[in-house]
Amino acid sequence: MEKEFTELLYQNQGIVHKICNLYFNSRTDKKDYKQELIIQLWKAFPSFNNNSKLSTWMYRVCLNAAIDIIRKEKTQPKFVKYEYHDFITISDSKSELSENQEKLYQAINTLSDIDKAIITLYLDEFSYKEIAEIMGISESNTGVKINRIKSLILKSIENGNK
Amino acid sequence: METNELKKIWQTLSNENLIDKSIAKDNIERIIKLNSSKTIEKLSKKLRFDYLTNIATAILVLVITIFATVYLNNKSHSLPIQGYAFLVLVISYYSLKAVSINSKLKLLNLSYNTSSILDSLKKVKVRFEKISTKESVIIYASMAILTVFANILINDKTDLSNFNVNSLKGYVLIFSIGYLVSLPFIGKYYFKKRFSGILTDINNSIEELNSEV
Repeated sequence: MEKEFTELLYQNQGIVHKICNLYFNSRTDKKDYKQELIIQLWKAFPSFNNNSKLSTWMYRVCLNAAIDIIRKEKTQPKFVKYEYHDFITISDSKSELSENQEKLYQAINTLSDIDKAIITLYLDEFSYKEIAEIMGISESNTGVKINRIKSLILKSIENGNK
Repeated sequence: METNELKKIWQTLSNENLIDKSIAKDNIERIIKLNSSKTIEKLSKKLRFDYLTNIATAILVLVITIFATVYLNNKSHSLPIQGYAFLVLVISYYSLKAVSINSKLKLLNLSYNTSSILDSLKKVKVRFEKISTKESVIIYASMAILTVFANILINDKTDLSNFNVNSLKGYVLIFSIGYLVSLPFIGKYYFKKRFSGILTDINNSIEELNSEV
């Protein structure tokens, strides 16, 4: 099981990176919580049903874990040890962000944890049905929310993230 | 800007910048052998230590109280009322602290990572409320026992036919009754206040998901 999990995670680790980069701010947090997400995925792996899409299952576990970590951090303000110099736009970035990429990233960053999850899934080409299943809401509600978040993002981009 | 353009920007952004240096297979194997990440583990350890310290202190003070009572009784003396009141308050303080830390520990272990986001939030909320009720009952039962114990000791040699409300023993009795009546409410209030931020967050997220906007 360990080998199978390692192989699957290795091939799909992009999801873990994306969630960490969207939900956590400092470089230390990202590194540490990347580990936490992998541990949570491993713990949840026995529940993975091969009939469902791996990426859907991974997003569900990672989003739950990320929202959970943020909630836990809030109970322990002493442990949220942000260092000012530790804040960067995107850690370990491989290339400079274009203006539009920077604006999109900033726009997504201003959203609530829930909206962030919905729009990430939408932009990653998940169907309304899959998003609805991951979030636990109806498909019609998913559609309404996506339209609202999209307009928010587009407005934010057009206004230069002001 | 159109939706397709948004998706295109996202694809470039996520593929080129949001995906960091690849985690090697060896590292994945090493990580899954851990129970939790460094930060969560450190937090857990600290909370467990604080919890045990507070419990040990409360028990120690309780043992000292019992020992002092028995010892002084053997010498035909008794501990002054103020002494008992002080000891009860000290035990209450450490017990409350221990209960509060225990809630944090339970919170730290709460995760429903395979449910949908909405279900996870609802489950966490229900567990939170259960913890709150259970802990209020525990606090109330322990404090009730301590208060009754202190009152029995205080009134041990009191001739109840001469019992006067307008006396120190009367005041202690009134204080004890008030203390016992208000304790469940104080416990609930304390818990809610302590975790009000998180409960509000959970409620807001549930509301946000349920709302049709």
